[in-house]
Amino acid sequence: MGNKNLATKADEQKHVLAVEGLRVLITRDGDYWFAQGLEIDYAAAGASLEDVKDKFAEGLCLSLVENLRLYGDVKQFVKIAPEEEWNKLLRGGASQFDLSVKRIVELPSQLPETGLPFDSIHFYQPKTAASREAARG
Amino acid sequence: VKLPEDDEDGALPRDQVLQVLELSQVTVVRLDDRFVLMKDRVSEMQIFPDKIPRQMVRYLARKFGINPLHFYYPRQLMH
Repeated sequence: MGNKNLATKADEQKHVLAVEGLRVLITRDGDYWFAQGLEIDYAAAGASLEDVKDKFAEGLCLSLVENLRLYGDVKQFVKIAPEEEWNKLLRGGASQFDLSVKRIVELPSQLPETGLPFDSIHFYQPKTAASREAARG
Repeated sequence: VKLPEDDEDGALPRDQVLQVLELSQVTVVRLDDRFVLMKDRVSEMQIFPDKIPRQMVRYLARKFGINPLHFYYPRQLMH
């Protein structure tokens, strides 16, 4: 993806990470929900649609920070998910579901300025899963 | 993956998943409700629900190079 979704802002003492336009597929899995990133191979599980979105965004930001702290970069973490994983989820009838999320994470000042996270994340989920969640109210 | 008969949707207790990760040389560090998972150069943070659904189990297996069957039959790793 060339990391076009990733942006960094820095001031004198801290780095603020932001990510834009990351696509995520969401599907129902039994009593739970599953979210799989596309441009970044990261996934999360949650007890509800909102829960899985929150856990995905939170876990992704924390993972990026953790990789920066451990390795000084995110090259190993920011990898595209395998195409067969996308297809597997899309075969369930995925349709676009957009969501804007903001997560700001502060980093130690000694970290490099090649940082990341997100201004918005776009979620995709199967229509059937969305309608079931809507019916739950 | 053949699932246990008492768990048709394939969701597993979080502790069982964490145990298999550790038995598979994944370093698991708990920070309140968050878990840092590390193996070789792969490192990520997870906020797991009490039970881990099937697709998440498969993702963890793929990400950390573990046979998915080991999560459902952890005794295979203990022998």
